[in-house]
Amino acid sequence: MYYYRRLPPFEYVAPKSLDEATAFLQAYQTETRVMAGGTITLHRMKERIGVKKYVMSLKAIPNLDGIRASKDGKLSIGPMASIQSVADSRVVQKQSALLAGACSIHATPQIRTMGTIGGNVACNLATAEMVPVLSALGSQAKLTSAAGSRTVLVEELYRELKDGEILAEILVPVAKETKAGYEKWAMRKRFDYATVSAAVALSMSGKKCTAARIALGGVTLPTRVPKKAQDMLKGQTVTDALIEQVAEAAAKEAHVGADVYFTVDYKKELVKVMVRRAIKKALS
Amino acid sequence: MKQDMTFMVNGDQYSVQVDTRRTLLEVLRETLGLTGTKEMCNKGDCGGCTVIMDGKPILSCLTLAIEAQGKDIVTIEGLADGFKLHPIQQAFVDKGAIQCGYCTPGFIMSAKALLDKNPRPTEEQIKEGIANHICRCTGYVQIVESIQAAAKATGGAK
Amino acid sequence: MSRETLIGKSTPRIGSVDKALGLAKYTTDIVLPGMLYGKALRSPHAHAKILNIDTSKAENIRGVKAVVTGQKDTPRGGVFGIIPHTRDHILLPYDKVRYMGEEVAAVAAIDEDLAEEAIEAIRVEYEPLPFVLTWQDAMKEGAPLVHETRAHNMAAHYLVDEGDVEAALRKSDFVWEKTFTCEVASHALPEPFTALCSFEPSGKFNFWMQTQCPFQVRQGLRNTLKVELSDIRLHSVDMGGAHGGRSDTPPGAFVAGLLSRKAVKPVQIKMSREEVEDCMRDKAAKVWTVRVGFKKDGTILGREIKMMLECGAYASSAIVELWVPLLIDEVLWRSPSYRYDASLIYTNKTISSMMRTRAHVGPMSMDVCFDEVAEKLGIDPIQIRLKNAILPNEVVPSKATVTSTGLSESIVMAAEKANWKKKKGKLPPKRGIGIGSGNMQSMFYMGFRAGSTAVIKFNDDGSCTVFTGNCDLGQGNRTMHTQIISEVTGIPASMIKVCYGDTELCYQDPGDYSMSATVISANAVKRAAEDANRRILEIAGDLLDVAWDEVELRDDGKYWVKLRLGKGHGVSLGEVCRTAFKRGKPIHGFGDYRARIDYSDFSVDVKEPYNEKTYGMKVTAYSFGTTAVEVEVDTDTGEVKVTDIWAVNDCGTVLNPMLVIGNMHGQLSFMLGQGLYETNVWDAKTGRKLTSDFRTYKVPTANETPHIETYFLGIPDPAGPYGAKEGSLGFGCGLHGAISNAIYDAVGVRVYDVPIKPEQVLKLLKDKKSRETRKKK
Repeated sequence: MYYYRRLPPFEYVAPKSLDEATAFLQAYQTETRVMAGGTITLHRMKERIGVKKYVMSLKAIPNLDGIRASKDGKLSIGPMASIQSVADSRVVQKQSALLAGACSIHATPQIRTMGTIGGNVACNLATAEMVPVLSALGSQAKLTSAAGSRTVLVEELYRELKDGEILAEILVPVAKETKAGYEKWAMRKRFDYATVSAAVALSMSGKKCTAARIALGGVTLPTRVPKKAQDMLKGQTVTDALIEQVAEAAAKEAHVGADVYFTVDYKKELVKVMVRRAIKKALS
Repeated sequence: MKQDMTFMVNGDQYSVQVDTRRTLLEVLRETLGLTGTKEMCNKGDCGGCTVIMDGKPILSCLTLAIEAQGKDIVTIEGLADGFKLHPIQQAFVDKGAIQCGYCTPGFIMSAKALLDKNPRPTEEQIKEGIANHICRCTGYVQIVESIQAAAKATGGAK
Repeated sequence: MSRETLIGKSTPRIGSVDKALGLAKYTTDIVLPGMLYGKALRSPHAHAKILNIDTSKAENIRGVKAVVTGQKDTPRGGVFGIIPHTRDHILLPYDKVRYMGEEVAAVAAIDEDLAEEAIEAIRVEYEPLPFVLTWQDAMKEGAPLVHETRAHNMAAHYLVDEGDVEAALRKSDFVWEKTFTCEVASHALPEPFTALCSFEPSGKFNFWMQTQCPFQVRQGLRNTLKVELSDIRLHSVDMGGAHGGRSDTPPGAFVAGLLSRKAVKPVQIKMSREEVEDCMRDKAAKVWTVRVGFKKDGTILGREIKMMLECGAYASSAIVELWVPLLIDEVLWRSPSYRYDASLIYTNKTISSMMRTRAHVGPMSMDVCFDEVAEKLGIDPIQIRLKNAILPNEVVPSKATVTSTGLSESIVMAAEKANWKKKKGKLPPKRGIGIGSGNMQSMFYMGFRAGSTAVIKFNDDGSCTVFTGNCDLGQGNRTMHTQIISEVTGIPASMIKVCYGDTELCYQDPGDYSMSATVISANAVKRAAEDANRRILEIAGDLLDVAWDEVELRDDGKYWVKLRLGKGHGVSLGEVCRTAFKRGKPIHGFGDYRARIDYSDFSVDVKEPYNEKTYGMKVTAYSFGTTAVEVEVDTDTGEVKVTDIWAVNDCGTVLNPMLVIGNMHGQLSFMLGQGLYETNVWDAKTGRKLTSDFRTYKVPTANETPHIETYFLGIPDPAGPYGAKEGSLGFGCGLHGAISNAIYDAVGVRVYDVPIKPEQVLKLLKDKKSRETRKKK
């Protein structure tokens, strides 16, 4: 059994433009690990997980960390924007308090400073707390490769992002009338990543819900959006009884895995509580 | 693979040749001999290796040294003026916030980053500001009191 | 200079400034010229025979300077165990491995990358064996034996049986019985284990490593390296945490010694965090079953305790955990008949040792018992405690006398400070209050090692250095020793230095083992200071032409003839010291203190501290205390949050309040962690530990820390220096009982297991709800 303190050997590549990066990936895609902030990559590599010949850092590419309101009313966030900078951004705070708030309670000050929003959503790990938030908001991710660019939904990234592609931009639609709520449960509130989290965005017309999006964290990747549960809200008057039904449906729909602390049953219970609380928070 | 790099640490310029796989923590401790920055978990879960890079708190164990090229870094050794302790250091001593002391440099660096950004933090903000840190001796109470006292001493009373 | 007392003054810890500056030198910071980097290859099996080890490839790597294996390099017959009965640990084994992560070979290379690469080149052939991970499995008929010579995997057994418990329980009006459990906990020490050994070819091993009892470690290294005690020197270093987890002789030090001797160069072995958590020490899991017989009025007539303790692969200092729960339990609550039956069981897991939180399910069981029984018998929960609380000078079942106790006072004070009476049963929904008491010994029997000797050496300017084998783990022992010397001699703290924990310079001391520092080491230091002071006064008297007891130190820093301040001729301390030098008798002091242990009435072999039935005065002094807590329960998730703690400490005279309060916060944080968050999990299929980092092993952070208020009783103990006794542990050992009681007060469900998991609380809440619905129907 081996225990390592050191990083394994690798070659470090730091392209200076997206074109340079995608060209390198085209040539060496299976041998390259793309690194954004490094908090996940270096952590994994010290455990000898996902070690590849090349580590390609995106830090030298200019203008990948911008945060701005785009012309079509969307919020455009560069993948290399640190999670703290998203939390601190006036534009984000104004246009999507949900996202700014979720970023401000992600992990710890150091991880928020180093970790990037792109790295967080692209990592496919339980630590990807921004995925449910961005998904509930209906966000899109722009992927770039040597072959060109395409846009996918953030909740689909886990299966859409291919070797050779780089997450180049995150686009968050901003609907002013949307009511949103985010709830996260973790043992140590300001240190642990969410065991389970839920983000909801509701379009309301009086007490009636005209559109609803729910996204979950801490569940298996394909069940991050409990479609049946969110459809139950659409066109309905939102009552406590309905919220309870939706929460139960979400828990039923979500697939969770047991971990060293929590059983499947308990995590499902948490899904229920988080969804219920997130909806109530959104409406409050 | 080795690479030349130049960076500022505690106001001094260093030009060193480092292996690309070295972390900033390893270079600070082993190449520069600045052993005040501590390794506790080496995976970002303890805060012991916290330094300030370009004004922000980072974990030096999860930072490649070569990515500190051209950056300005402050470590625990860079706070005091000779024997004159920085107000945060002084408060940690006076309030009994240091026991075994191994986690102390990390806490002090986070406290510095916090007070630089927010000179008048509430108790909750202080606790949030040191959320990445683990201390096994003090139970955190005197650490939080120290940061409050340091804020007061530097003019940001609350 | 002034005679103003330092006893009871809050002064910062000595060494804090260096630590604040980042300049303190810990083992991990030390680099010696020519130093090599060592790394161990570890077992991928929880239990396996080692058939063959091929190191040839590793040896041929350029830059690898030494490779060691148990088969080739471990001196035969060198077995570690903290007492003869438990000598079960070959520190680099050659026959078999007993837990996943155990050392099988090691290398030393010119850099660490190379060392990591080199161990990958070693080939080991194993014959995997079936393994056991729980004491229940380990005791089954036909279970795999961790140690072939120990039937049923029983490492040790311990029994105290006084009075006829069965008869007492039969006679009782009410018998309460419950089982409590606590899971394996980790010390999670900040500084990863590091050992640096520099072997001098003339035959001396110099070690720098983290240890809280250097003389115990030296003994273990002597027994395993098979050299003389004087061949081993442990140097004094700053240490990043200990808390009980650095009490034993670690394999890492032994291996560093072997590598350094083989390479004839200094070798440093620095463990990764996961390596530390898997391969160093844990705290044993416990199952604690208690039966208590009560009279109608709440008086205890008899108690029976059965404890199963799971020690992991080797007995290590978990053997101490076998009898410490007794020392705690029998001393808290009076019991005319008493039976304590404890077994230590081997499993194929990380080795267990002591931890500062000690026997928390013991105290917890009685606090839960009192609340439940009080409710059943309709007695006030405080009154039932006071009725059974031990009083000063009472003799406990194993025939020790409790020389001082403020247990009753602490219960009353904690209840009062927390406003318990007004709050109990009356807090808003989901909030509750509870109390719990604890205690701890200040040093217990360790054979002839249960004593300390200190020496003080004065310089010709009047400054001095004290040499003590005790350590400063950060809790402030150096500060305490300095305060005491200053108090005895009148010399200001700035003129006193403490040289500690160096086995070549200092006399033997138990180290910070079993809370020995305050009573044992500090008393030795005090006596050394008194001895030196007497010599100072004698020479001063001589110079002033009076008897020594007619001389006193005055505010101006000079020794004057009593009652004649400022008249005639005073002598300075420097003059006294210089005169002593000239006369060929430099000022020095010698002080010795032995633990107050008396086995005289009982036929106990003092050389062998482990005995199945040990009676007598085993402990020098006991600390006591009570905590009251307020909790908030989230009934949706079962999550419990402790919002407030009121802690009352009966630690005798408080030598330095600020430091003791800090130590109290630390203990409460440890207890809180083990009460609510921290747990270790092993994979049943492979025997691999799954909680080896700070992400999965959940140590509380500042954000989990409740509001804490601390109080002292200040009842002096006859044995302690200036009446002081252990002050950082005992008071807080009742926290888990307090939390359990508070949860019951808040939501009406009862937990008996720690850590208290949200899932478990939620389940209890649901069960309660369905019971209530059934009742309504």
